[in-house]
Amino acid sequence: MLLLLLTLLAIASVLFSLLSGSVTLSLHDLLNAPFAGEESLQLQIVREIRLPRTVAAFLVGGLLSLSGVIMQILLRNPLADPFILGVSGGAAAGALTAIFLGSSVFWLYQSAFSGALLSILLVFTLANAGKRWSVTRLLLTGVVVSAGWGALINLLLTTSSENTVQSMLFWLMGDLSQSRASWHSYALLLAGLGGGLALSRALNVLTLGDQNAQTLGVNVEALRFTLYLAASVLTASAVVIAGSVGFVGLIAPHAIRMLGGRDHRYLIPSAVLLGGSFLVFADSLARTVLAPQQLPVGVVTALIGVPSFILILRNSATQSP
Amino acid sequence: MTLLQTRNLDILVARRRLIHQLELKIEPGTSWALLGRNGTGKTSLLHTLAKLLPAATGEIYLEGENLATLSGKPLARRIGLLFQQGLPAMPKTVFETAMLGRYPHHQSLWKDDPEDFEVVENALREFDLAHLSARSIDTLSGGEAQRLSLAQLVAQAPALYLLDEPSNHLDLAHQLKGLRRLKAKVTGHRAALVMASHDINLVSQMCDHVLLLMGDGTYLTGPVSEILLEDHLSEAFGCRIRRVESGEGKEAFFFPSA
Repeated sequence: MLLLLLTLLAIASVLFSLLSGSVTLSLHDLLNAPFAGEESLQLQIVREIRLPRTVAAFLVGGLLSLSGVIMQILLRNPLADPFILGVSGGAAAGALTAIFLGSSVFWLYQSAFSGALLSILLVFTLANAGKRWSVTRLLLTGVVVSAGWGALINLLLTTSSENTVQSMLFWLMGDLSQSRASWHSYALLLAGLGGGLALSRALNVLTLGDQNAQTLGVNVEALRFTLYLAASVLTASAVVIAGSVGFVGLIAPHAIRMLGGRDHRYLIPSAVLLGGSFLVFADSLARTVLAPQQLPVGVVTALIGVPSFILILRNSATQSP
Repeated sequence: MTLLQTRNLDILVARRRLIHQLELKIEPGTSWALLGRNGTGKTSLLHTLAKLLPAATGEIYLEGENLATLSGKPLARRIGLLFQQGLPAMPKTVFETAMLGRYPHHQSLWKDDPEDFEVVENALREFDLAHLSARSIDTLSGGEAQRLSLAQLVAQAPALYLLDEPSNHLDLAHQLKGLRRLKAKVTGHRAALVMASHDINLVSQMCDHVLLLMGDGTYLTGPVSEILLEDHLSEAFGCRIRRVESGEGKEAFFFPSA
């Protein structure tokens, strides 16, 4: 039931995004587009500009939500979000270095992705050095590495010229205006979704705690390793497309849980749909509210996200998050 | 066939040898009590038997198979463990929590088997939790949470039940009733149970065999009538423990005396 509603929401958000903007288009025109012989300028705009951006927004929202679900179980911490273990910090440091050096968009992507990978490896190696894996160790390492990236980012910001700082800030706040999703990210989201569904029963059991999960037949160590890698790579691919879009990965999973979807078999697809729709909707607003001025989408996600989260929290007072 | 057998098993905790050369043979249908002072290795032994901890030396055999060769769901269908500390309060209902006990039995990745529902409903009913099915677990009392852990274990339906202080937080009625239910599982299904406990009186009513840990590596093992004696208990617990038989001579009661 929830899944059906969320699918409808996803379709609605995509239509809303395609129809809103400086060039107006009616729903009728849009739906007839595939059958119209000659393509109008409006339709060209939609197809060439709005559609890729909308798809990218949905993809990023879905990737971040899925990563958020995984991080929250992995760290057994409701405050965990996709960025908590420093992946976004590494990507941001990479991206900002590229902007600082005036590189092309291609190299910006490569640099951001390399930064994210470096961060994933760094945290993983440090967290596992010598001792057995523990949640606290992983969390602490992630937070420390994030802080390190933060310092590097601040250094780049303070030493850059005013023009570059502007684009750096957009990147840091999360911005979809330049975003195009590559086939890698489609594949990753689908793989993540499939993998997540295959593991969903084990994830349910893992919420009982490591030892109990182990005695119920879950290979906890292997599962944790898989979850860490999956969440990191999902986050990295989202961050490379759109920068550090905050809030989606934290609240989409919680919103679904509070609506009653605690079973990961439903939580995972629901969170992907909700996160995707939410980001599509937020991005439509980001480019239209102050048009022609565009806002970073991260600002909008927080502005919408905070009040709606409080609303959900109030309405689900009987169930703790 | 012997359900569980240990050979030459040593348990080390923080470099102290708590159990030395344990030779234990648990037959199907038997109920074992695991007794000993605090810190004598009761929990460590249970965790070792459940393969959560490695043994320092020695081997464990489950129905003749070396435990080292077993893992994952097949192992979880044969050995289940009730933990001393309760369930972590992640948001879940009572029913959802008990259903997690069926994990090792699930065939499909996605679909629920009607049989699983039946098993879980029965388990909840047996521990007087059926009326709380839809309740969130963070609203349960300590005793209710303990009964839920027991129901989850019963839903898991292993051949060997390892219980770490199963009577914790339970009122007297549920201690007796709950443990009788477990004992019925054991005798009815050719299973066995090992329970660590500090309640000698409860143990003397529920169990037929005792493993008494002395704390220095030595231990006593045997039928209840041979181990639950004043001398052995007094030595193990480091205080004088008296044994009094009831009028009919069937039951014995134990209490410390100055």
